[in-house]
Amino acid sequence: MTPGGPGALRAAAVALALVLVLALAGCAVVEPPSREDDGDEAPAEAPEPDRDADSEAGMAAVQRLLADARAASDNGDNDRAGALLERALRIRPDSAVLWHNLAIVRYREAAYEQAADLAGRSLSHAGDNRELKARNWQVIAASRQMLGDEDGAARARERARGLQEAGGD
Amino acid sequence: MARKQSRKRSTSRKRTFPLRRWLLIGLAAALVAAAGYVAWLDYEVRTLFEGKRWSEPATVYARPLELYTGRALTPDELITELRAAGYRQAGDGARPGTWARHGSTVDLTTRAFDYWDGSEPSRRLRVGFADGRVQTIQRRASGEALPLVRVDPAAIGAIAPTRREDRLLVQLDDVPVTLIGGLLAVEDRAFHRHFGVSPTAIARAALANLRAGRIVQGGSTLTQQLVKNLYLSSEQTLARKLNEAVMAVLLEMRYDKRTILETYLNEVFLAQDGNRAIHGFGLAAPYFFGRPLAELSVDQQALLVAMVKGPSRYNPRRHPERAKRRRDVVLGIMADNGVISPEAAREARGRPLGMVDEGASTRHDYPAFMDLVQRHLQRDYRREDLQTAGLRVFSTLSPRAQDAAERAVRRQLEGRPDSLEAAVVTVNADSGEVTALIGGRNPRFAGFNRALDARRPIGSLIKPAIYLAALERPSGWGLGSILDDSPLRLEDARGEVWTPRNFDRTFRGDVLLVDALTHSYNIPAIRLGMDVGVTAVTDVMRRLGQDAPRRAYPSYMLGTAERSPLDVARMYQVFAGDGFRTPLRSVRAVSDDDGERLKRYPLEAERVIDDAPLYLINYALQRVVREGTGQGAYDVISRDMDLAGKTGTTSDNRDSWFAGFSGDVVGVVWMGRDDNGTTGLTGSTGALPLWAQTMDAVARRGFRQERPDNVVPVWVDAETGRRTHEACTGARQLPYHRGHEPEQWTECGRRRAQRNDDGDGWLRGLFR
Repeated sequence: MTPGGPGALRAAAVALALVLVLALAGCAVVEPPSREDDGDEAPAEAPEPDRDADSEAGMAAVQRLLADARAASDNGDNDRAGALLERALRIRPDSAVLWHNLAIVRYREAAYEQAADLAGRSLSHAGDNRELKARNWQVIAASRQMLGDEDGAARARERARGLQEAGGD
Repeated sequence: MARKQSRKRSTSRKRTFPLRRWLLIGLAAALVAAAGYVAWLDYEVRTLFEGKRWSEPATVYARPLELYTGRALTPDELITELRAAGYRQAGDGARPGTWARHGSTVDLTTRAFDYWDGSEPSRRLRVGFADGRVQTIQRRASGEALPLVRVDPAAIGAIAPTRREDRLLVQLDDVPVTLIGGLLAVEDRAFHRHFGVSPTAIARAALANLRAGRIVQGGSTLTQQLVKNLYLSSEQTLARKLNEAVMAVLLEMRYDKRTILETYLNEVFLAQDGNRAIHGFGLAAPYFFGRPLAELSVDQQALLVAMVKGPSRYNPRRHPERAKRRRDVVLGIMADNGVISPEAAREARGRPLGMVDEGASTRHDYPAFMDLVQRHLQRDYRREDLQTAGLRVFSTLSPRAQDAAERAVRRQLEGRPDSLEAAVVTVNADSGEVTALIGGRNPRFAGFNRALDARRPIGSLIKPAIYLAALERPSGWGLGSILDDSPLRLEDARGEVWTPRNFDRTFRGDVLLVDALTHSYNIPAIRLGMDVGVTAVTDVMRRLGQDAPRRAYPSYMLGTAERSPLDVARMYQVFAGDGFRTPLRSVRAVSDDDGERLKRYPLEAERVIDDAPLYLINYALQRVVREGTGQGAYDVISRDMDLAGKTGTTSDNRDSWFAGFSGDVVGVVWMGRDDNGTTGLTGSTGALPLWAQTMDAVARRGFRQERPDNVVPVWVDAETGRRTHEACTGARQLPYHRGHEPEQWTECGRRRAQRNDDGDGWLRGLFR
């Protein structure tokens, strides 16, 4: 075996995971936060008028902030992007998409522990949104990889794959 | 000839050498000394001037109100926010910093504001409300709908040097021209012509003083007054006056009139507020009138100008009549000099002084919160930089939450003994931002900050940590587990025997785990804590952000650990925040005086409690408020609002606690005495009503949990905790960790379950 072999392989794997996450991140940031609400609603329960207003409250504001956050992150100003997402989260703290995007921003800032934790927080709000759940597991996998937790990363990748396969049919 | 002359000169020089030479040397020495003296004065005045000119304490702002369509907010609440931000009701709300209300519509014009993340322009807005929510936000000119607007925040305080000198810097262009005109007309008519001192003014003053036989008039120019203010001395020696005059001339040589005038406006001493000196018109305006300088009416401007002559003598709060007479004199001078029209002066003279109550001025209203901000910032900034670098600090304080908490404290403590103290903390459940903080029964008094510094035994507030430690071991405990509530004998750290009691001094035999927490029984909690292990409980406490001893005794289960209300907020935030520990923050960001971002304090979150045990413990904490020791909350709050929380009472009723949360707010209340004496209050009778009143005004979203996949509802028998069937007597539904449902069944339950299984099988067969 050549001396640099396994190291180079590992570096390539990390790079691949990184590219994957960033590509996904790009998508995630554009996604409107309304998607997650599809899964939330229990059909049996009659929606209270107040709750209805709650679910619509601040949607337009959140969309605007999300767009600004994306622009800031694309400009390399992840600090500002994070602040804009936090503003949006103060309006909609139950939005799994916002937590997910905040995780992505932290990942881009190389704050991997925070990225993994915030992706976990997104998971706890993701309801039945398998696609978003899978993405969160991908962020967790990539973050753990960067932190040197190979086993943890593999487990997270497994979770992501399970969700993607199940969601594919 | 030349030679002769030269010889003659040389001889004559030789002859006059002693006298003239010495004279010349003396003159030169005097010149050098004078030059040195002047250079020293120049250095001195320049240092003082530059130091003052560029020394500005950090300004702390409240969090800006985010207005967006759909936000739960009433017109009254908006107006409370606007008032806190120094807005006033005026005309049609078309000038920056004003509002006007027409029924369910509020017109307002925001002020341009430099946030740390960019500037926002002034906007003329119309905000429509319906059903307790913001329905529309429109530009008034075009009708264009806006989804989101930040309303410029209240300046809530300044981090001033220990000398307790306070100011709010203004730029010359922001000062009303009538105020400048009035100031010059009264204090220094020749300001634009003189070179620092005014010989004619001095002569005029000297003549007047001679005639009167005492000092009745000063001939000082504004520049001289500025020098005097910079020196901060009222010494009246001749040498001092000479120094001041020379320095005034030097200042005029170095700086233009605009710079000098601007510095004067920011420097002049105008009032003493306790141990705080009010310097500059910029701060005097909100201090006396509760609004920014740019928004003062002519009579208010004249009153400020009147105070220059004698801040103490003409203090309008202490000597209203004398101040009014002086103000009217100033108005007269302003009219005489064409600063305002005679009609305007007449009209202004007819107005009352128009001050706000002392203490109602918009700054320094939040001493406890400011204390928290300062402690936060001192981790990252040097004291001098905070005091002088003009930093802008964007805090998390919600004026509305603070206002609500203050009103609740006033109402709940009214008529109670003076020795009874209180502290309140409110925190945003998800972001960990501290939104209100009260450190004592008088929230305006900057004394002992009990919210941060009163560390008291937490009593039963520790119980959720004990029960959580148990519920994290689902094979051992569930909400329906039977706990033993019978007499218990324990040995304490010194080997002494003690027998803990329940609050009502009765024993109940067997109780369900969920009920033991709901009703806060002591003995089952101690037994449970000992069964699950003290280290398991201290481990939970550490994950909830608390220090915990490496070795603890059973008495730890009774809440002997001493914590501040802020510590308790940190602990309960985890329950409210999905099991994520989020460091509490009082500052969002800091920028420098050019608006450049220096530091941001981002939201952080770390999962410390897993989904399933969190769901179970929060279920129990909701029962506490629905039917247990916290049910008094619903005497105040609508039953539609889902809440969770826990009471705490310490021995002999010394401390009365309540910690709890809605979906959006975590609130912690402590009541007790500084001398640790008995209050006669329990958590339910003391802290709870105050908590409920605060939450009623602040909470907008009920606490609702999404049931995790690995938690299932299970029917258990209310007496025995055994698994049963819905139709059996005594059946009660409780959430359980999937796969850890009770193994034993009641007789009725088993029979019913078997029958149903059969039935299901039969149906399945039929409908295949």
